[in-house]
Amino acid sequence: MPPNPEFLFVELICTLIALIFGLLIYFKTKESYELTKHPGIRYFRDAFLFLGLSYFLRFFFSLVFLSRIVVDAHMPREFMMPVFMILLGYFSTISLWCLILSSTWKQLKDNKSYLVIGNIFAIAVSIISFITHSPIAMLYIQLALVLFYTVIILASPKEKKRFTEAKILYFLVALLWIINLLTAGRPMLPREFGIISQAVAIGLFAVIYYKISKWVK
Amino acid sequence: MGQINNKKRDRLEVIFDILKNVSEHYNSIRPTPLLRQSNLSTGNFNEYYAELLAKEFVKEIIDRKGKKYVTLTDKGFKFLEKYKMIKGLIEEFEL
Repeated sequence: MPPNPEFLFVELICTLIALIFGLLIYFKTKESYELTKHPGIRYFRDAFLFLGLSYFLRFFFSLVFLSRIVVDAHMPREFMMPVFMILLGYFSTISLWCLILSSTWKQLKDNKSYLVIGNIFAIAVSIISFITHSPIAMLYIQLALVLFYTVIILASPKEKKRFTEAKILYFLVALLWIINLLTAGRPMLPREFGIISQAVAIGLFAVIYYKISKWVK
Repeated sequence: MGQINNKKRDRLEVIFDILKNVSEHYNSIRPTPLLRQSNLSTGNFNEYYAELLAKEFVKEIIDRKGKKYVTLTDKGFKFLEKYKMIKGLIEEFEL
């Protein structure tokens, strides 16, 4: 049963706010990156840019869905779905990859090659999603990425605090995206979870933006 | 002036220390005293110095006697001004 238009409308508003916050974080940190070319800042802002774009694709997907229900306009789904899968597969995977890299790049020897690996990995995920016409593979691969991040946190040296505020924030942002993905297309979770996860994600984005604004005037 | 502590500095701190040194010398210092006060090996200093020139944080000026001086550019002053907040941002998000 398709969701009612009001429900989709709320979803659209949530994704739009998430997109705006993603872009705000990206542009707010632009000067800091341009002055320093600091790899951590680069991964951080790329993560939120790509995550914002991923939420936008969710928004666009819902828009196609909503247009059919509300104004009876038919969008060519056979064409839209593969495009949607390719873009969503790439943007969301690279965003999670960058999010992980932003707090772990110092532990890696040649961090530049990890970005290349991330891009190859994200392209592979988008091709798999295109071939399978389903977000399932994307979902499992991204879930594996989140678990991999958890292992990295747990394996960090004992003298360092493992679960810092920043790491918890990154972990939650990644986890909420996965929950959001579970409610896309043919949902594996009730759609209400999608709205709740998006609302919480917006809250986290707002916290991150507020923390950035404390430093970057 | 130009006090540099001995703990291991990261790349940003080294850049900040070099730029601060130039600024504290009325924005005009010869490369050799700058090297001495940077507390870096000659090789490391040359690497950083080339980077600062390439990024246009500093520029070289030759005076009438043909002596070379290092001065900060607007971008260099901007880096000094924004350093604390960038450092804060990096520490807050563990970047």
